[in-house]
Amino acid sequence: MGSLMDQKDLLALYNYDEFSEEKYSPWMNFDQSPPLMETGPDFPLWRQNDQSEVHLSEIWKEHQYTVIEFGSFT
Amino acid sequence: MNAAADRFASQGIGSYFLYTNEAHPGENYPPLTSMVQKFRHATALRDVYGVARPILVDSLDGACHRAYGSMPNMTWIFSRTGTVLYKSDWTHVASVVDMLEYLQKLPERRKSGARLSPFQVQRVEYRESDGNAFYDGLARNGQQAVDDFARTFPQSVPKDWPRE
Repeated sequence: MGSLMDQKDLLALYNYDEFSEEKYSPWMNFDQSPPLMETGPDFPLWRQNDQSEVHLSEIWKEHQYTVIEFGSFT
Repeated sequence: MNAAADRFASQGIGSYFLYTNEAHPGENYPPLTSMVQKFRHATALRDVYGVARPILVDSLDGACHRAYGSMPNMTWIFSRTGTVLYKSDWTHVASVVDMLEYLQKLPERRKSGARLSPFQVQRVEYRESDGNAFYDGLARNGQQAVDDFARTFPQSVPKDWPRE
């Protein structure tokens, strides 16, 4: 139950309902992000076009270099 | 970024857009509460903003986004083995292109006999920002997005926005 609540809290906090400093700034952790020259952490992702699952590691294996831009509609 | 992706696509460089959380939620694009909604917003991004690169969607709790620092519009470049070669806390096309051109010169340098050793560099770059276009985007998200940003950064509202 506790972990279910934690996950619910995480979803609501990460997908914050308004842009305000107290809601967005805790997520800004670029200075703690993975270092250069090391392998980046791998995660499951889903393709927008067919919703199929793919791992980030499968994506970067496809090309000599891979550019990933993070963002959203808003 | 679409043009840069097209330019480098034939040269072994893949380009993707990874869909995260809504940075500036509004009435038209509210906070995400389901993957169905997240896919719908990602499709709108493709259709409204014309993102031609393949779009990948992160989990609803943003596991990947959070692990990479959670910035709203950052760019990362990986090698084929997943080594992080470039990371920028904001996406700036000229900066990305500069790095890709640099990477493309490496084989030629090696071919010419240069012995190359990697090192890291950090520097501050500057981009131009279009306040009117930014606020137009916020308005597209909904009035709440405009109000929230203007309240958080009152000096950011362009004097001539909204334009007639």
